[in-house]
Amino acid sequence: MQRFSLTALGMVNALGTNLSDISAGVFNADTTRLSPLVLRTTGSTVSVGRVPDPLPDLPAGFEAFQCRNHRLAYVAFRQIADEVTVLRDTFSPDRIGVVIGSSTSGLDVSEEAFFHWQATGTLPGYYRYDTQHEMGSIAQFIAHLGGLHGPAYTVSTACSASAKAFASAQSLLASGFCDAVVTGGVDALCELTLNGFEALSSLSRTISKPMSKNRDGLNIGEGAALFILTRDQGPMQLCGVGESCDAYHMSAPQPEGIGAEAAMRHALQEAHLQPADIHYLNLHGTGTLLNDAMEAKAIRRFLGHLPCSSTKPTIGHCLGAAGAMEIGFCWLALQQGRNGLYPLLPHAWDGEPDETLPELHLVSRGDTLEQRGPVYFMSNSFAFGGNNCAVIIGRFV
Amino acid sequence: MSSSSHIMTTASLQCWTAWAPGLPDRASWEQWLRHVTLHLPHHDTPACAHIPPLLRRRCSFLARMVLDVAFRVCEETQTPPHQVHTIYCSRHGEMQTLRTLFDDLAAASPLSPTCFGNAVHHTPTGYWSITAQNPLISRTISGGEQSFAYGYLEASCLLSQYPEQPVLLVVADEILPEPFATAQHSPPLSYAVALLLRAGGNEGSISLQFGRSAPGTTKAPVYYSEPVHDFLHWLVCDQERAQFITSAGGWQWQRCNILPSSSSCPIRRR
Repeated sequence: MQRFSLTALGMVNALGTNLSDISAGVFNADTTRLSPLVLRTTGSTVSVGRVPDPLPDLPAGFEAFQCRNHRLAYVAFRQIADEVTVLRDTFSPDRIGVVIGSSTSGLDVSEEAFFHWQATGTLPGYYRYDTQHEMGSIAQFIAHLGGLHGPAYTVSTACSASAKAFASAQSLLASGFCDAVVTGGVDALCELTLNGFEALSSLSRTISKPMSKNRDGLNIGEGAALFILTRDQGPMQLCGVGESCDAYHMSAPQPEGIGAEAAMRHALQEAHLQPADIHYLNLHGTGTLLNDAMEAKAIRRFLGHLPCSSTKPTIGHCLGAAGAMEIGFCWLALQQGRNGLYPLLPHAWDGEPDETLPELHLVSRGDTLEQRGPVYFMSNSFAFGGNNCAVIIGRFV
Repeated sequence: MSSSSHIMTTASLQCWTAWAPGLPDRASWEQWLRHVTLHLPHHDTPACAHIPPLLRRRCSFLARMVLDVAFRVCEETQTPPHQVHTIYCSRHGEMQTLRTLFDDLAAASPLSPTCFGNAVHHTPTGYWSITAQNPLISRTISGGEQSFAYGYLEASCLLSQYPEQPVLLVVADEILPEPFATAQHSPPLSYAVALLLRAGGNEGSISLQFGRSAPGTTKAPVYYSEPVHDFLHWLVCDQERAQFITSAGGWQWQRCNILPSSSSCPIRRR
């Protein structure tokens, strides 16, 4: 696959509303920003990665889009707005696309509206299904914000959605349909996903502990991560995206990680790289029994003993936004490299390995990578329905 | 608008098929499309003979429609179902499944794990990959009224990136449940349409050029609320060019060269 440049990043999650706060939190494996939430359907208390900061209202003219999901997107978009303006001055707006990964878009507004309708027989006056909840609305909102008239659509494959958005974005550039694409992921907390994962017995009762013998499930988070992808040959590049399906089960991963391995292999093929070329892997690492077991097996079998970590305990599993968020963490680490020395993202957990799993080289706080020449980081995302994606980004000094 | 924006790609459409309640096969769709008649409400469920009964019972209605057309289009073109890339596009996704879950949430009752697993937008593709034993690329997208055009765009991209692999493009949507049907114009019928596309020209297929329509082009007549139905209407009525112009810009399909029809799945010319 042709390489494209990742020129700008905007992010918001439980760690903060700007890159510097988020960076401080994730490189410190800070899990203290997660907050308690009582589940509506079971009454259990779980920890969630809710963005604690107040979110700005949308600008005038965007009232119909008003919802938590789109406001999260707005926080991330404002961080790249200047670069988007430059794009619009450089290229025709109809040559700039928007591809966003999301699992639920603004579904939380439909929940509120539904409860209101059940109680009163009418939908609330502020409610707009098509611009708030409808799956495509998040991409259309960002296109409107940026004044972009190229293709604008949402990729929705649950927890792999925003990793796969990079595949679609690179397709649009490679095929010549676009000169630049705003891509990434957005998802907001909602009752449906919180209580749904509870129904699957997948929620941790504390903070998730990926790859630990004590792991007991995941925390759900929210946020947005938006990138600009262009044809430039800049220092930070999207090198390969690998996609696969388990073809095994609707809600459980293939236990040996066959599909996970296929996605990683495909990503390496697309990037024209060998397993040994990857310097760091950001795990899907949800902290569930099944995911971590199959992922550990697939990594040891295919990639060997490379440094890897899960950053999910710091912000929760952001579902449709998780892929872009974690590629964002990789981007921050690569971008902060100086003189061949790169900070690595520490593994957030309780430090108690699961001896039944193949041993992994889990990154500790303060660990660095010394590497001259190109540096390649990979990020894994696996979803319901066995929908897998692995993304490789690189830094070329 | 720069002239460079009108990139056209060429793919060949080997076969299409569709399902809706009361319109179970291509022949009934062709008749419906030629006469532009109103679709009358009808209760029916796709047969889905290819799916093991145990799995079939767990499928959402949308998944059943998608699998029904996907298997049929592969069968008619003798394409092994495990050897296609899949693009699925749906504007509204699993709103019917969500409606059931909203009832449980409102009542604060625990959710059904199967129902929650079926609530993700790409649900039909999970069932498809399992029943077709297909481990290849599977993308699910949603883009408002342009969902079909963007799905076709994704399919074109995959065909240029991996020309040896056919692409199965499925477009499906359901009638929206209450109270959401009142908030948004619902599709007038639940339906699924499958197209089997290949790179380049193939015997018995139609070569279609696809791209942004040039500025100032006139809009083709719109007969249906669902753009994919207008696209099929154009196909069966054998017009030269189909265009869909929306607020966000237009898309155009144009026949470029039509090869002699000899396949088991003729796309009929009048």
